Amino acid sequence: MKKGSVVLAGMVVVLAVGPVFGAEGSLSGRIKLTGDAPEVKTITITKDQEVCGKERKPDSLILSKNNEVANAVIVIKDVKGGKPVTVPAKNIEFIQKGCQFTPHVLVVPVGAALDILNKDPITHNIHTFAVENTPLNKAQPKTLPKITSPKFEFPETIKVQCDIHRGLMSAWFVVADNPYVAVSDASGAFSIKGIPEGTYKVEVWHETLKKHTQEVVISGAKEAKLEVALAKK
Amino acid sequence: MWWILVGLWVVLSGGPVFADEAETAKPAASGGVSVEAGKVIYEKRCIFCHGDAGMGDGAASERFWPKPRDFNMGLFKYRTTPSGMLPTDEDLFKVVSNGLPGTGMPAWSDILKEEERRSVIQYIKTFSKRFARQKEPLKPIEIGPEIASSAESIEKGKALFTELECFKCHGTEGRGNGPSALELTDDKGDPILPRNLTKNWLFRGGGEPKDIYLRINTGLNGTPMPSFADSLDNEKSWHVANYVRSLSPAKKPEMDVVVRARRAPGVIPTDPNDPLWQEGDDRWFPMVGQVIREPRHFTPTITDVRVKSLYNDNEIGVMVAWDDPSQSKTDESAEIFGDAVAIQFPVELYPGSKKPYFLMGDEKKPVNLWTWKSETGSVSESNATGIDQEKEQDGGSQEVSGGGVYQNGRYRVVMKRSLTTQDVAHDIQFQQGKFVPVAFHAWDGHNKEVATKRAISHWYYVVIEPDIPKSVYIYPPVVAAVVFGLQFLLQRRLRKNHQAGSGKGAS
Repeated sequence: MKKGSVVLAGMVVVLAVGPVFGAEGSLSGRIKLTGDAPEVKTITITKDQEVCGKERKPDSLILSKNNEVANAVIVIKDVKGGKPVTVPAKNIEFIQKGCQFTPHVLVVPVGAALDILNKDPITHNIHTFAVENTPLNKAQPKTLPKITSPKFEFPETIKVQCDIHRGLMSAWFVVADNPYVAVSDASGAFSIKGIPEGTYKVEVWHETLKKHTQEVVISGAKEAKLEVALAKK
Repeated sequence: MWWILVGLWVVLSGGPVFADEAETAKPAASGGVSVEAGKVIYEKRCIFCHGDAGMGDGAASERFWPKPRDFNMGLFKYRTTPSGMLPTDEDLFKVVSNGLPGTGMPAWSDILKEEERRSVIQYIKTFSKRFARQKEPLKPIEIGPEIASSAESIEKGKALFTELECFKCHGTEGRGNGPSALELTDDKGDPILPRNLTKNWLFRGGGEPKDIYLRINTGLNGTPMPSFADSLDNEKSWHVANYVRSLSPAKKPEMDVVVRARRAPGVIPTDPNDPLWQEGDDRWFPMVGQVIREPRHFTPTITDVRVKSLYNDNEIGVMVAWDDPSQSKTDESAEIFGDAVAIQFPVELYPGSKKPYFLMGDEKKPVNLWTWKSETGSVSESNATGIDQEKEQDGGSQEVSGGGVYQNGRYRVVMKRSLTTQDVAHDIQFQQGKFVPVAFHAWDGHNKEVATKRAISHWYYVVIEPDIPKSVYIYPPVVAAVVFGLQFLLQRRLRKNHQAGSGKGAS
């Protein structure tokens, strides 16, 4: 982006929004759940217990003690004059360990590729349910510790699964064409920095909860706060 | 049985439309290969199953398992291209032309001209935007020099099958009964079963090593079957392919309609693992879904049974073996029921080829059923005059005993009874030399099979071959002894004469 346009955009914001001169602001906040936490059934593991364990809570809804939601995806939509995504110099790591994918929700900038690692002494299969991008379904036995994925080219939220350990191993790739994306942590918190000032639509997505959309005003004066309570589907 | 299959196809699929071949020839004849010509053919031939928007949701799609392909997803199973990639035109052409055995997809090579099939392919490719985005030409994977099957190659393939954990889905003996088998779904969320690798004539993409080589390297897009290309070089690919091929017989079993009971040296064992039941040939009979009476069943998992029989002076036993991916436990909320098998005989033998209606008899000609249930291991005897007219026999007439085992994805069940009984009004009576009609019913409870939802067979026969008469064993030695005796006498006579003669000559 040219410097001139930043100044110009800043001036517009100054005139329209507030007194402080600044081109960028940030958004932080917390994602919670409305109402009571649903009963989460523990998965009884019957296969490969020496690697996968005997039981585990599913990854599909992880709540803190205070019903804060982990793994929600917060996206600021249509940021005009925003920065492009940066493709990291090294491939992003995506790990299978203890029959679990880490991270459970992975943001993948458009143009990036993944190094998919199997740290378990058993075979997994990395199966993506991509529609826009080339789908992936590769067996990864213990003799193949690393698979490099093709580049992800199109923005898309992709379900990821190991079919051999179905119900136990699932994850999501959020392929994003802008850098204004965050995933909430274990306490439901998130933060996005360096957002050009303006009024934007924010979308909050979680795999098992209702999608939430609202407007936020980003200004350089103070950090915008977003407290969202997601409802059950 | 052919008419069940033809009936199923014609009634359910709504096509193919055979009657008006001349009409369909027109668009292709004028326009050559084109998307437009393909659309016309698609809307005439393909729409019933694949739907007007290519989503695999046509009017007939409900009845199929696997469901018709959803072309919008851009996921095709039988390809020559690497995992995740789109198919080549030739890949699609092969499937359209040859069909997919064991599915609702017929071979169109006899119905559509090559040009028409190529046009349809061009139209199918418009449903997913991935085809338009594909810039580089799609190339088949490279298949290196073939390693012919040998004991050594098969052994190496078996070791790889274990190392790569193919058994997790396909089972240790390849019957599609691995620990992950029952949880699998395709990319649309529909249940899907891993292939039973012991019946290569049912492999959709072909059952020879070269086909298997392709499947393990390309994977089956849209299904849980991954590509193993990153773990297999050319040699290893052939070893696995040769091993998988070796799990099936050299040729598809041929049907021989008569089960010949073998004489058992003593008591007929009810344990299918008894060595006596391991001996002798079995007979192979195909099974189909029961689609005649409501509720119908279009998608059975049991495709065939194998049958043997033993008898002695008092009893006859029949062993039925069939593959089932799991030993089901009843869970009615999940529509899962226990597995079962039934052997059906007519109550009495009729002259000529007359038999009761094959589907559990009719009012005039009842049938006698021997049923074994997996969950209880119980055997019961019943009579029926129709599929919904079955009545268990009174306790006094319950004379069938039996036993069953489930091992490595296969059931083997033995049921036996005395050759004749007092209850002649309800029980089939066996006699040496008489051909007794026999039919089979089998239920895979995990596939929601219960009551009328089952796999069925047509009538076949079981026969206790007439004993070879004892005279067969007595006459030859007697004849031999007589011949020997006569020869002896003759020789003695000749010798005597000779001696007498020479005496004369000397004197």
